[in-house]
Amino acid sequence: MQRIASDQPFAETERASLLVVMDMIIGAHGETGMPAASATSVPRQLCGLDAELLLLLREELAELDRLAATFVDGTAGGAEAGAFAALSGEQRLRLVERQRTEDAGFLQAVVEQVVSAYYQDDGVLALIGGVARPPYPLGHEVVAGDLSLLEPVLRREPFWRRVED
Amino acid sequence: MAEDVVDVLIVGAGASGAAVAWSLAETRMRIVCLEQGDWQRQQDYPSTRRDWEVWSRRRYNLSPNVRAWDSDYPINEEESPISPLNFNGVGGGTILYAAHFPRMHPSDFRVRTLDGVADDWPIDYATLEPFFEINDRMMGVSGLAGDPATPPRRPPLPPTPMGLMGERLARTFNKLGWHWWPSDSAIATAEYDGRAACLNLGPCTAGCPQGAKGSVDVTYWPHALRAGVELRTRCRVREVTVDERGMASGVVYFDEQGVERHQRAHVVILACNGIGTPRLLLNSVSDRFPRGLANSSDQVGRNLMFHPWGMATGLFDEDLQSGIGPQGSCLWSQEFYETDARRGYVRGFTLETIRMGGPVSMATEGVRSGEIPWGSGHHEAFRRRFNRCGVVGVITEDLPEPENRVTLDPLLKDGSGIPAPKVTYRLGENTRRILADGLGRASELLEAAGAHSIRTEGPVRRAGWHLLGTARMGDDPATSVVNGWGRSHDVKNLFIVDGSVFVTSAAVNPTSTLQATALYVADRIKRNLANLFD
Repeated sequence: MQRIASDQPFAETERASLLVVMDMIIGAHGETGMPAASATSVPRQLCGLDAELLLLLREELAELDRLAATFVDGTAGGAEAGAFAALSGEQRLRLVERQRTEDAGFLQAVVEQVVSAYYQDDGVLALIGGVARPPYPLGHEVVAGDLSLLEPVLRREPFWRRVED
Repeated sequence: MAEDVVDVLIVGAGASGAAVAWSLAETRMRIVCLEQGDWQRQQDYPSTRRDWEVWSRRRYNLSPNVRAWDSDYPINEEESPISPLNFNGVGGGTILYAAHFPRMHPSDFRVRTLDGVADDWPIDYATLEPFFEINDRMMGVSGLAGDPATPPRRPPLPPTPMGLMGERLARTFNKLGWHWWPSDSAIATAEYDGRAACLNLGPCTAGCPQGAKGSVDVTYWPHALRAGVELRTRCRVREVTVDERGMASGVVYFDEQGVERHQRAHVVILACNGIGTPRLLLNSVSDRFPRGLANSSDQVGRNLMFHPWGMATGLFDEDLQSGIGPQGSCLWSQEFYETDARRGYVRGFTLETIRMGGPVSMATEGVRSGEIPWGSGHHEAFRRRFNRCGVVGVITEDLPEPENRVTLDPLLKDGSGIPAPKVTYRLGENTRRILADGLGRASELLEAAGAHSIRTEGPVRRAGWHLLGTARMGDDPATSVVNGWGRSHDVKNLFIVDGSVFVTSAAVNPTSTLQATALYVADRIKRNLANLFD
């Protein structure tokens, strides 16, 4: 998997649309203190994706901007780059809701990568009760369980099907 | 380039190849195993990484078509609702399996006699019983004696922990009056045979860096190598060759440098799984065997059986730590295993309680399915699921059907130019009924346990772990490929030891039974060395 040499692989307009859309996918939640995606390490993580995934994201962001450019007055020809970020909040919401209804694969790669990155963020993991480390070598404690619960089963007669030869 | 002759040549270093290599090593015959993949480095497994969930899905994906390593070959699965899953490397499928380790039941070997469908095996449970015992010790099986659902067995190690979710479901099984038992697992729950004990890392299906999971690279192979078996990795076999007498003379393979070689052998043993073995046989065409080697019966590749798998998921209000612990092994129920005609089908299913993945899997799958929305409802929906999700798997018996088969794809090839396999498969009516009933029972269990938001899915596409039946055993050469001890009817020095030889699939994971069968075949080879080709 080839990695992009630059630490900022997104153009300014792509970044603007990406930051907006990632917060639409996962926004802040005041009650629980969960941060919006853009306020976590998600933007940095996305910049570190391999070339293949970055290309997918950039293609989807380009499509998003193309849709946004025609959204306001229904005509083509407007500047596309950054068009999504330039919409009002209400317009963005309507556009996204319309597209999600019509196209099950809308922003599929962006959603997948934003959600994946969010739930790998140290701060997010701490807030949800997860652990910000690899499983190995510390592993996890798991309750052994009460094997005396087997007593009703142990009282049963063997019931595998006999084979008469 | 022809090499000197070895006594025994084994193709495939997975579950059955390793077992047969170890067993035959005591004969001091010169034994060589060729494996197209490589040794795995435990430190490379996803559980050693921070991004373990993403790495599991990408680099260690169960599907060869997604993973696409150099050692993989593509599989045309367009005509199958179930995707075959495998792993090519020392350890084979055991590298990425969940190590769930039940045995087949005695009735599974007599399906024709008992239920009037499929066929009977030429061997039975009693014949394999001593080999089950040997295999349990070699693999380090954890579990509990006393299960009334099966013939007696004594796993050498205590069972894996139930966890809070397991305990909840255990109480529910009791409430419903259904059988349940801690799963037999090839997971070392204590130090065993030089291996460390399980740490409950979680993703057993992405390799075990602890070495606690019983993959054969850490169980059988160290012993086999010490006993003198030679294992050559990155050696991809293209075909089995035959001599003028119609006996197997060896194999043509590409070595690590891609150089074509001919390894000659007195005995050839195939252990390439239920897709790899028929593929190899069908690729081994000669004047004497124009339909592929050992295929006078036209059964090579036919009768492919998966275990169509379904699952029911439900949410609990309490944090039951459902994402923590060995993912594929917790409890099982065989309440509905044996045939009961009142259910409207023959044969049955096993219920398996399993564990969900980590937060990334939970979130991405939830968003993909729509259960976790964008925007303001995201966090609440995630919180309701994380560590609160009960999953009950349904593993169904699949009956053999000749049109469910492995053939050679006319266009697709692997990296060495060898024709790739194509899978044609559909679920039979009996299997559909089993699956539907199983999902109903799984939902019933979750509801009785207090779960809500229960949903079911099946057959799950990415669940073709078990590849069976495509070079079946039998006494009749017209309807089977190998005899009751794995020897080809057509080629007297050719043996098959993997899941291809299964006559029926049962409703349990096959590894325990296929390894016991491999050990039995090896034992018969040793006992018949003087007249092996008669």
